[in-house]
Amino acid sequence: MAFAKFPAELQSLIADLPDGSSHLLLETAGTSTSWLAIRYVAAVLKQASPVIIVTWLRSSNFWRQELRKAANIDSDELSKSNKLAIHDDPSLTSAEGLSKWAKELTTLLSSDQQYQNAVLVLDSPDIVLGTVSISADSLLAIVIGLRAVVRSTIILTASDLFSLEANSQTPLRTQQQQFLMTLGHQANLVLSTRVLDTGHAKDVSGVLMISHGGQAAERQTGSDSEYLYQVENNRATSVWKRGADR
Amino acid sequence: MAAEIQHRRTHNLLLINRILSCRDQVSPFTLILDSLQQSGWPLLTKIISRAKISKVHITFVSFETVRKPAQVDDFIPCHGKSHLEVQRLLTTKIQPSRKSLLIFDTLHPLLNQPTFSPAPFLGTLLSPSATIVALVHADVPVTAPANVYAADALTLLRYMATAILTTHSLAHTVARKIARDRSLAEPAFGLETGVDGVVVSAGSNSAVNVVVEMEQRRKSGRSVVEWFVVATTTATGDGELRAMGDLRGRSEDVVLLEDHAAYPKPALDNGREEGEGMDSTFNLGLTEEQRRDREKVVLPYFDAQKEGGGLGGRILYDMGAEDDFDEEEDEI
Repeated sequence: MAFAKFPAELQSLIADLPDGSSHLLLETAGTSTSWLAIRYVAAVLKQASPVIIVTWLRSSNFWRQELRKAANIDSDELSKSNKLAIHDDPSLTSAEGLSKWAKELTTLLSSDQQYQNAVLVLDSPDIVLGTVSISADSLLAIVIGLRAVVRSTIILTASDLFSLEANSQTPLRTQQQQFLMTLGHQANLVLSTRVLDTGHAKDVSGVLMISHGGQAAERQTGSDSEYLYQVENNRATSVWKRGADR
Repeated sequence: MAAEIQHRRTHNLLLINRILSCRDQVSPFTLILDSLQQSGWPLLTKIISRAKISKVHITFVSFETVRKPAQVDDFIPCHGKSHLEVQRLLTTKIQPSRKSLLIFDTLHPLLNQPTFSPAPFLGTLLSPSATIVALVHADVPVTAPANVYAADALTLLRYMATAILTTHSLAHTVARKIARDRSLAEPAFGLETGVDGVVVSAGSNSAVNVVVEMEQRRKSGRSVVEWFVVATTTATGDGELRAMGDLRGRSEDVVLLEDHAAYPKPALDNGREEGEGMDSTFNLGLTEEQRRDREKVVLPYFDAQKEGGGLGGRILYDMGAEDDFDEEEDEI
């Protein structure tokens, strides 16, 4: 695997996905959490649970490629054995199309026994708020409906609230904040990435902060800490504590 | 002073315990306002476990909880439903004859609906035997009402609530207090920092203890405000707490914030009053003799109040050659 260095306590947090749990991965304009999502997918597949990736922002090809390059996972083979499914562009055109799609997926997941232990990865559902006329509440209801029928959910979403719309409370920003903060309240663990406060550096891609979500479990060791990380061109990702040796 | 604090302690602790246990109808509608710095979820679990002990029927209305919480009797998923549907669903579930507790894990999906009005909604659910506890996330903005002059639904809820419990993180409250004591700027957490990508700061959402700012409104309109630390101890969590030295009163799970071990105490300055602790080249103290002499001095305004004016306090002035004395205006 192309993971140069990954802290053990972080790995155990990622692998710990009890029934009904939800982890929130936050990215900003300068950072991405897809490398972390790959890490989740690899951990879940190792536990022999099926993974369903639903992506709004990136294409299914992106995920296939990244899975192969970063974690050496052959997505085509896993798709044939129903261990991995990647849905992209789920009816981005209308709110009705979206709820129809969500209903179909919910029925599929709840009817089939093999999906009982499934982990759902939602890649940037917040895109929908800007492209379809749908309220944050309706979208959150769709997410909750999907969460109810799987074991655990990993949600990737943007957390830029300040720089993109210079402090004007537009309706879209209100919706975005509703969506982001509510997901934070529903999450067990929040993993957020941001760019370095001190500017750009050649050997650091960004800061990864692990914090408790609103529904944090009672004891989680390794949370409430901050790491630095770097994603290399060959997808080798190292994560280390501030000040520690790489 | 000490007796006053003791009285406040006894009185307010009794009050919060009654609110948390939903006893004696002390608060028929409790609003819990939380934020991502400290979720109100641990407080909700506390209320559920206490209600379970007093054998109250617990109905949990879920908008964002996917699995039925332990100890809850009825679990009603309501996500994606309109407020009228929710209201219809709940009125069929409520039996006025038994003591019941109705819990909402959030009210936001209802608050954002343009036709929702909290008064009729809660009015149909309240009864002398029912208590409502609703969690609302204060950092999730509410969609502005269509009528720009109307108050939004959250403002109305705050107005209607008989008790408001606002949650804060213990770590953040202590950090703020330490900064305040040193006259430094208070640190910012979470969204307050205004940094993209910082949504939840370190020290947030402790599941072990929660700082609660209570505002209880009496029928008379007077409100009682007090800060507490509520430890959400479970059977195993208790031992851990004790090991951390977190709580003073070991058997108590609710203490005043100022009584909590982690909260900075006011500096004891008895020594300073005596003038001994002062580090200066001046002696600002008085000896016993100096004090007695000072007390003997009669100040002019006391002297002037005596019958006949007394002798002190008068202005004695000798006219000089250059003074122009005017008989009508001046007198000596």
